[in-house]
Amino acid sequence: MKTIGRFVLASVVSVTVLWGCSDLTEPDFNNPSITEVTEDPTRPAIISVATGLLIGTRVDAARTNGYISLLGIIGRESYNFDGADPRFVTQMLSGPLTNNAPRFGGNLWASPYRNIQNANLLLDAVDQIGTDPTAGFSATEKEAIRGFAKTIQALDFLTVVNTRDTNCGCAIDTQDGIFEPAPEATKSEVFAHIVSLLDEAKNHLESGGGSFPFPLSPGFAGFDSPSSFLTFNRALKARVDVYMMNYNQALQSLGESFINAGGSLDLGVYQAYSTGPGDITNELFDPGETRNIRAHPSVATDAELKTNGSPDDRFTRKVQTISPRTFLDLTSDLGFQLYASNQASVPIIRNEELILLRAEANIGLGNLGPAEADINLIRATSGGLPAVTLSTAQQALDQLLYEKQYSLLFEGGHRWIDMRRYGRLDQLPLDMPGWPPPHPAFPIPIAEVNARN
Amino acid sequence: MKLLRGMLVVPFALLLATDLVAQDQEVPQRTVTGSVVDDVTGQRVDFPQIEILGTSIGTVGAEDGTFSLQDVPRRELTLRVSRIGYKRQEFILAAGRDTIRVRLGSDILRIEELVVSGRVTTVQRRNLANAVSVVDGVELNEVPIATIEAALVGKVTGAIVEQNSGAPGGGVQLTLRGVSSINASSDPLYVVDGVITSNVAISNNQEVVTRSNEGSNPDPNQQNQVNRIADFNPEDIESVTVLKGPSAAAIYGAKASNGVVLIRTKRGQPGPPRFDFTGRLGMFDLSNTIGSRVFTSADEAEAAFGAAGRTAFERGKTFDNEAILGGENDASWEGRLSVAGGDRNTSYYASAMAENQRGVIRNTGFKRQALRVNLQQNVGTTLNLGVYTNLTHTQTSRGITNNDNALVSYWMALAFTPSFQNLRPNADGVYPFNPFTGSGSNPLQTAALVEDDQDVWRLTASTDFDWNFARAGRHDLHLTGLAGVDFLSQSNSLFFPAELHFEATSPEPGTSLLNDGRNTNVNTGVSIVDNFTPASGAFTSTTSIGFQYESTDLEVNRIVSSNLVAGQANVDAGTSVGVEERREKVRDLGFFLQEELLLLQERLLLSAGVRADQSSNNGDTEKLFWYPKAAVSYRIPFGVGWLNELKLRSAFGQTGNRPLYGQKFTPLSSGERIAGEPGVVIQGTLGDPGIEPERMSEIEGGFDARLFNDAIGFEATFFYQKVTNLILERTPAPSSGFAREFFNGGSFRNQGIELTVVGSPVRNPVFGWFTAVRFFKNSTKITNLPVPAFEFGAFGSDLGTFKIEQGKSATQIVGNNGLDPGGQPIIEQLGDANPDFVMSFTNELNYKGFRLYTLLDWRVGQDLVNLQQLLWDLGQTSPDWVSPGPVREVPDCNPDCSGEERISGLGDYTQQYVQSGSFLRASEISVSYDLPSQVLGLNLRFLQLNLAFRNLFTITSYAGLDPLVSNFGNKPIGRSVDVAAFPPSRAIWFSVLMGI
Repeated sequence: MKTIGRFVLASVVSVTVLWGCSDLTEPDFNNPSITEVTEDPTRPAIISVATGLLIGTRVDAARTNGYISLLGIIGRESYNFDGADPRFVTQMLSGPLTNNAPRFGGNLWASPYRNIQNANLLLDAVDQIGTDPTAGFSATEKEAIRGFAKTIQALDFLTVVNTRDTNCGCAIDTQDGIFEPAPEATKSEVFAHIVSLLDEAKNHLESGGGSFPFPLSPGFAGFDSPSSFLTFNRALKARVDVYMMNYNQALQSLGESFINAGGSLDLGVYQAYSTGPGDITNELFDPGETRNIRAHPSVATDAELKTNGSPDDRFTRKVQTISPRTFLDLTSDLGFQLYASNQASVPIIRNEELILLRAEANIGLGNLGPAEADINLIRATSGGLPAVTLSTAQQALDQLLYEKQYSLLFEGGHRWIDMRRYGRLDQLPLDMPGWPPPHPAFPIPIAEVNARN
Repeated sequence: MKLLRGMLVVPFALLLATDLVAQDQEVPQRTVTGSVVDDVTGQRVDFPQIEILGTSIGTVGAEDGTFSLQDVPRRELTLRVSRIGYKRQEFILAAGRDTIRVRLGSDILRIEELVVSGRVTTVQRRNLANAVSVVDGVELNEVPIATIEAALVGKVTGAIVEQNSGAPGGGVQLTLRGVSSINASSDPLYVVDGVITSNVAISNNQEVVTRSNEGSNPDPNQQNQVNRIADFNPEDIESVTVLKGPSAAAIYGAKASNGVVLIRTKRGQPGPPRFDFTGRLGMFDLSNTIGSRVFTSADEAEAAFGAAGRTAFERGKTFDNEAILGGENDASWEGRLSVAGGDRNTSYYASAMAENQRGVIRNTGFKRQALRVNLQQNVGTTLNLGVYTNLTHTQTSRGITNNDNALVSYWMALAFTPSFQNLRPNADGVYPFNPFTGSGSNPLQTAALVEDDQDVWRLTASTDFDWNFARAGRHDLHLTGLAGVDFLSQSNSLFFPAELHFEATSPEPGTSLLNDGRNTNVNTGVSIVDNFTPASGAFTSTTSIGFQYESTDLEVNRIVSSNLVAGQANVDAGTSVGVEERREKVRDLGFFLQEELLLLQERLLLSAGVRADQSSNNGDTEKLFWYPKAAVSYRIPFGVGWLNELKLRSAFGQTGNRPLYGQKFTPLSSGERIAGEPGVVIQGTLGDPGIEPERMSEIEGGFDARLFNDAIGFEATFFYQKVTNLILERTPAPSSGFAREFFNGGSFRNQGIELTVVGSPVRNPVFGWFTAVRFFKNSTKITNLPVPAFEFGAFGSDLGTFKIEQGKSATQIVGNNGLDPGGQPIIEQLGDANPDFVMSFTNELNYKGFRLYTLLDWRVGQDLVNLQQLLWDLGQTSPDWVSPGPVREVPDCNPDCSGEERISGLGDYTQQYVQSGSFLRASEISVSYDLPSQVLGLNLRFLQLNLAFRNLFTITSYAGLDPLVSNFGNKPIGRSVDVAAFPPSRAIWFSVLMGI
């Protein structure tokens, strides 16, 4: 019995010892922790988050189930005949836009807000880090980063308010949203917040020195210093001013933007895509005769004719005729060709829109003369169309909306947003009798609603 | 397990009887010889165990049932003869008797079988306090099948075996007593010869091409991936023991909430080498098709498909494209050789096998080659060592199936291909462009040209020892230990050449995918077992104590390369290359203590134990989580009429389900780039730094009745499980930037009944009938959900999904049921993936050398989300597309809607696609004939011819291909979604089994 006792004792002791020595902790092998940025951030970490903002704001832009694609369908610019997912028709066109799935009705909410939090993360980290020029950021560099972060944040808020519009209930103060959902804000409150972000960013950028301490994507070529980035900031501001019908303000913002009536209409800022490792591609590039992404038939029928009888250059430049396909009773033989490859950039805002925004502001102010000049400039240079004369405000607006439809076709949901702003959604074509009128706004996702309750 | 072996192989020399032996020295000696036969058939009983009670004399007889005992004292003695499968017999051997013939009665109810009762201890089934199922190797291998779980179908009461598709070679889920978790693992713990064995399923990344994760469910596991228990060959298995719930599995602690499957591979027996040879030849045959709408005119074709329809339509021409695609009946084969033998101190078992199962689709199939060597060695009289090694090589090819958003997946592309479209190649071998799929994909071309090779090497090696280190007084102590490694290396290479239509129309034609996964499991453990019987003999006590350490290290590297230089499959041939590396490492430490008491002439069993676990996956890696267990069984000491014995039993236990790797971390996403610049972004997941395992408590009770002279047994078990501290996902307001947050909370309950009748109503020398009927029913209910009800698992309510909702079944399927006045869908329960009940019927008839074995599997009331039919409807190709009368509205027409009615209701209604998957299936049928060996003039131990069918027929009203399907692979909740799965097949095998 003694032997046994000793043996059992020895075993118990060895097991206990083994226990005492056992530290089983294993790290996350796959990803950096958020604490790398929230606690004692380093300069490289902050640079990575700054670059991350461009990644975050790009996520939904050119996905098949993204901003341009979905807004394009509701705005009757496009179809998506994805046989594997009928909801491009049943949710976007023929049925209710439901709030319970992360795609379709519930889409375009989590991604912009995630990037809004990325920007908050960046702004906090910049406040935390010291001003040592090698280990931290100089005061000037910090200002440049803040100006950048707030501008991109404003762009993401614009995605939110453009999709939810009067359905807001949107969120502004999201910093502590994990613990307490942000209070609901109305559409006008969100717009006001966007304006203040853009204006704060302007001040930061003005004291942001000569260069950003991090690289911007090729989509920002020509706008990659704080001073040139400011003209992009003002361009966004001008769009927001027009959306808010602050037309004088809009003209002032345009004056500070990169608007250039004599310059390339494509001058502007873009989302960049590539096929490099870790990068994403432009999913709106959809070649092939039997492709899913198609132009709405009304894009062909609505196009004005040039004097030689051929359609608007903008139509022929952006749309091509392909084999017809029928899906869920819809038929289209039109495909897009404006994105030439899966690495093609997608505009965030460009000169052509700015000139039309100036026309729009002038129409809003009753200055039909300057508006006519801008509209005819676009008609001639972009559309190859004869000049028009603007005689009434109503006719001027009709003409402006036509120009915007074709100048900004399938590059940012402009058609839907513009028609909605002027209460003209009922003028969009109805694809089938009995189908509901175009959705006025995306619902607030069920997850947000649940979290608030 | 180890003790079990100890009892078999280290024979009775260990028994404490030194005093008696000393006395016997003075008595004259004799040699006793004899033979053992079956009391009904008269056939010899191989390897009988003979022991003389009260002495250390004992032996294991030969294969022909004969035995010889030397140095037996010449006085009256009690002899005990036993053999697994027979009831042991004790009788008096008179002092003058030297030869005996023993007739053993068959142990039909296996009451003497030693069943696992603890980590290292066993108890006879007659005393068992839990409903533990044991399936032996013969029953497991009635009809050939590639994987162990699939071979268990219908053989374990309380187990539901679900295939994820009809592809040969794995992708099977074994669910024991219903769901046990929402977000944690759904896998039972597989333990092969004591080593916890990986059942990881590494996906092949085909979503790069199919874009299956780009819809509303980004789950990457929509690829018909194989869970790797498939690497183990069922034919090397001696027995499978299934611990179905915490009351039996508590001693496995924090990994055992889904039950434990203990697999014991074959061992050698003393005797000359015995060779077994098996040769099989068979084939697989497509067992169901959906059918396709027949178009009668070009106008009808144009109405459905536009101009393309008119162009392709040709009157009177129809193609059964499903049958053409799934029409391969190539010969499958298997060859297997094993040898077993040994002597008093050494035993060995070695096997080698190769098989090739050819799928019904071109270029699909499953190949396996395996080698196994098991060795056991006695060192002296107190130490037994064992070494078990298995090397397997499997190759799986399954083509492109399951969900996709590119219409590349076979049954996805077929859904949109009208029956008048010819997909077959022309005389030059050129496959036609398919104008009806957006990408032009032609599934026949895809099947012919896509290379999808999964290559797995797996080495499992373990060694154990059982040292009877002390026998003192009435104590008998064993020290047992185990060390084992389970290593697997999986390589998936997929090649989509640029000439495929869907590649040619893609932005970057030609795609090559290379995935390398490695998983290493390391196990060690040491235990001490003390058997104690007091001098009075009033009880026997078994005390066991021990610890285990286990680690799992999984690393997966993926390379994606597209825009390939023509014809080149190497990943460096593309212009667009992406790489990814993932690693998960888990380390666990556990400790247990258990006490078992057998009292009142072995009628009362009392058992209690506790397990403590810590794991690197827990938030607090140093915290111990305790899992207690207790059990009692009592055999009522009298019978009444035809009731021979009634045993009452009850057991309680708790187990855990560990958090998954990473659920405690809040990561930033770091793999993303923009124009080559790296950036980090919030990934959207908030980990819980204090996350804990889920805890399942179970109480089970029941009775076992032995009837009609032990010819019939009836077992009834009721169980009640409660899962608490669930690992849940809270959805913070998405405006916070985070989409989900892990936390512990909530609970659900699961209760059910298991009924089993087994027996042999007729058994005589000419004719034998063995039958088993198994019934299982369970239901779950979410009892506490501290978050709002959430949809889960599938593609959203308009396409049917699961919803976790307080007060409802955990497996309810919900969908849209009309719109509310605000235009938002009314989301209601439309079905339940959990069957109302499951039954199986096993029958075995023996007549002379002939044997007929059948297994029917019957499941009632489980519902599926039939997105396969939705796809067919979307393609307007459903065989019932055209409404015979005026087009009615869903739900008025449900369940008899035509295709156009079903699709017109889409968006507002989902009920037309949530369908019952009840079925009755002939899972296994086998006919065999044992040739009398003397007839052939060969010196064979046996020669058997066998014809076997698997899934010969299925009776179901389900409109999809097969009700056993899971687009998302193995999941606790979220199976039963049917999207373009690999089609079901029946298999037929002709086998020759021979023993030398």
